[in-house]
Amino acid sequence: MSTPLEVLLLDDEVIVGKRLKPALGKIGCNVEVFQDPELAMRRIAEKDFDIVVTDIYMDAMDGMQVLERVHERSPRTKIIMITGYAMIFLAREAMEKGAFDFIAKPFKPDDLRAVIAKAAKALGTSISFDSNPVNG
Amino acid sequence: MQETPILEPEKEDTEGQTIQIVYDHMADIRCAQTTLLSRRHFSVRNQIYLSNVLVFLFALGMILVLTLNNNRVEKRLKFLEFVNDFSSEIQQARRYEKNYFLYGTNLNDAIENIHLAESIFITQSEEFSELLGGKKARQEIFTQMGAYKRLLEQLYQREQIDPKDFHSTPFSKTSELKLRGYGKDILTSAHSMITLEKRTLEKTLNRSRTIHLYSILGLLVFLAINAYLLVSRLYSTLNRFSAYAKRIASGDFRPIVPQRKFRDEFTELAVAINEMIKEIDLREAVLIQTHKMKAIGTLTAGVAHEINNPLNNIMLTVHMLLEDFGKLSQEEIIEMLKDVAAETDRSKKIIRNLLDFARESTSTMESLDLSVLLKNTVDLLENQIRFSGIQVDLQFIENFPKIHGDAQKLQQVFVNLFLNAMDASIKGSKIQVIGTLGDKDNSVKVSVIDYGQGIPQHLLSSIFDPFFTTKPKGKGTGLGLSVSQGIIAKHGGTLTANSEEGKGSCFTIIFPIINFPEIHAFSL
Amino acid sequence: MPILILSSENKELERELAEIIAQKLGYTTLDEQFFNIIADTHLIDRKKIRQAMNTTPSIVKRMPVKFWYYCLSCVELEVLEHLVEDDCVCWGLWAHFYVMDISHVLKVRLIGDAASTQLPIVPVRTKKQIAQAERNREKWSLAAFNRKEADPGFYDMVIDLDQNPVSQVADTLIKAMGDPKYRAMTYSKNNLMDFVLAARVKNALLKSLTDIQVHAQDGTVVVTTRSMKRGKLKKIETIKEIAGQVNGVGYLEVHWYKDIITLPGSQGLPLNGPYAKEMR
Repeated sequence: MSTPLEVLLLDDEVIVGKRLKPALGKIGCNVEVFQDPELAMRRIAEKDFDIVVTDIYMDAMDGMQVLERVHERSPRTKIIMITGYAMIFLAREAMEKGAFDFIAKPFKPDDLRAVIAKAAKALGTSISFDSNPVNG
Repeated sequence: MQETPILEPEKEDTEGQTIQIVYDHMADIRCAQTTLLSRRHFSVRNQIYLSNVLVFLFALGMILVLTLNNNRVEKRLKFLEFVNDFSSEIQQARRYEKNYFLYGTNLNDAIENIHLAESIFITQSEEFSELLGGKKARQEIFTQMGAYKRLLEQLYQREQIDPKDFHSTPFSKTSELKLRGYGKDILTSAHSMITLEKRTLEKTLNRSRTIHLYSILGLLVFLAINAYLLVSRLYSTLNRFSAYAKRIASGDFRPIVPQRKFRDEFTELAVAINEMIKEIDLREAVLIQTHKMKAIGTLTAGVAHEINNPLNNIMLTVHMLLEDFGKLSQEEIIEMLKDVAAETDRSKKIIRNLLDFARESTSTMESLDLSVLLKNTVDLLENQIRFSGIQVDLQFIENFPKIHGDAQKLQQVFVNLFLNAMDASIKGSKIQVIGTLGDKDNSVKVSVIDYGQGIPQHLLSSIFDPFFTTKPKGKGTGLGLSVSQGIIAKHGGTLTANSEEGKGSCFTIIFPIINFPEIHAFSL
Repeated sequence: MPILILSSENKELERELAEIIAQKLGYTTLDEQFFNIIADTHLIDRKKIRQAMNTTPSIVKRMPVKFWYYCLSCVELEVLEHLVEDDCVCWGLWAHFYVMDISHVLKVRLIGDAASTQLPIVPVRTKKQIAQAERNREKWSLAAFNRKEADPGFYDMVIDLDQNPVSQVADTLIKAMGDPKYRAMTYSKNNLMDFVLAARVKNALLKSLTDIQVHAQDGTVVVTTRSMKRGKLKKIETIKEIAGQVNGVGYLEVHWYKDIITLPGSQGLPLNGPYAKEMR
């Protein structure tokens, strides 16, 4: 239908990338998966992404730094934080630094897809996904 | 809606478990108590009584000896008196004899005196027979006296028969000579007796003096020995007890064990102190437990978050499996299922670290490799470390010797030191752990160094006090360092702190290396 | 948009401020009148509901403990359900206690005793009255939520009404609410939903039981409770039955607590959930 959304997924957990790539691919996202923040940053310097999904606590670099840099470089990009260490001050800090949304692990693929749909709407495009109620 | 299982984590009676931990130590204490009390009783009071009695007996002995001596002297004096009387009678007789030969009178008196002398001799010489030099000497004098007397009597009789010009008769003349001879002999004997006697008396008096002197000295020595024994017993016991008190204050809670073969009033004190040790030990065990619970609380929060990652992996994998089941190839399905299994294992490991730390344990002393223990501790604290953004660096020398210790308790100590170090440091800084040989032989040194805010000099001496904390209310219990120090003291080691405000702190633990065979090796 | 919750000792000023802000932002206000709706929905006397929110329970005041907790949970449930609908200014309902750790709720404490501009005459309270009132509030909030209401560390913002006129305060608050960090996000919305579910379960249980704490996350509900050994099994059965019928419960666990464990969170990693801090 519409052009695929360019999504960058950064998480040092390998399985996250493995599962989310096809999951997001189904709703019209072109996902590039990274485990190393350094490599991810280099890619971001090369290409503009519509959406960046990133973890917070990674060994090499803090996800917050990624958030700041991406937001600085490309304010249009919708940045979604995912983390296992969700805390209120972290959430507020992320929002302050320009994140679009903040999701706590563990989450289901549909949860992320719902957020991506919202992001897409905010970007002005639409994707093929029905926003189901998240809590069942 | 699914089944609603019910989970009831029955937590065992914490207090019971705490006592359980101390149980082994209680057995030691109980054993020490019975041994202390089962010795023979020899109290200080008894010692004082005994020594006084002995002194009294000694004095008594002294007095007896002196009294005996005095008796002897008395006897001698009586003898002298006797000999004097005897001599004076003989002299009197001789005087009358002289008178008779000069003036012709007093022969009766002479005879009377000689009779008196004889009677004196007879009545009293028996008493003094040894002093007279035996029977022979006595007999000799007796004979001499007898001869003198007979001659006098003969003279008297002759005179009665033929009184006229008696003095010029040859009998009278020879008698005179003989009498003088006899008289002189008797007196000489008597004199020699006196001289002998005087000498002996002098000797006896001298002896008396010597006895006086020696017995006084003896008494002095005796009293000195007595005092010394008593004082040294009291002093050594008091010293020993003050050493115990110091030892207990420094955290060594071994019970007092019998040091002597007997028991006394101080034993009551020792028993009481052992009871006190038991109480303190119990309380310390409670404090250690409290501190551990606090540490567990902190670590649990970290684990709860860390578990979110494998949980998330499982959730995503399973949902994708459900979604795409028909479209996936068999290999893909198997791969995803393997992922789920691996993440489950990972969750198990995350929890197990914490559980191992948290479980109630009986204190077992075993041979430990500290570098391994520290690596485990770092794993246990992975979340806290990652969250704080601090890098932890472990450096142990090659062949770091094993020490003897309680793994659980020591881990608690290191958890405490690490958490403190992380609290003091800022993101991006480093914490170093260095393990080397100690300065003294047979010891090892482990230092935990942070480059954080440090501790001000005036607080440095108080940080090991229980309940001392600089954290705001509700954040710190102040138990950590005092509990840690107690645990290290129980291992025979020391925990010290060095710090410079603004630069950082260094906590050093020194362990002695004691080689014991592992207990388990001998259990059946 | 974030939710604004006001708390203070001065109800008049709260109302004034709330109305100004609500008007400017197009929000609804959720106020003290809501108590009536709550009372009617749960078939409780209106006066009783207000009494429960103002005083600690006692036999003398005809407010037994069990009923008191039930009233509190009714209020909590209705307020939370309403808050889910977003975009409202809440005042006079002590809602700040229910929404700890929700990042898109701005909790504001108003202090000071400035006379309201609307009412002509307001009796100025004596120092003693103020102190007495504060003590009562503190006692109540400690009993109900184990927190001191006046503790400033609990709020996101504290504003002194004696120093700042109401119109200025309104502008400040509106500006603050525009700050991205108070924006609602999936995470915080989910948290709020969790609170709602927990409140639902708790309310259902407190109708007949006592000593109930509930924690919910994503449909998983953990009920923590205490009882005599004899009644344990029976209580579990009852809980299963009642809670199982609450809408939204996916998985239920019942826990017993006996120990006092030091609260996690001292290292800055607090557990989520409305009752984590209150679990004793």
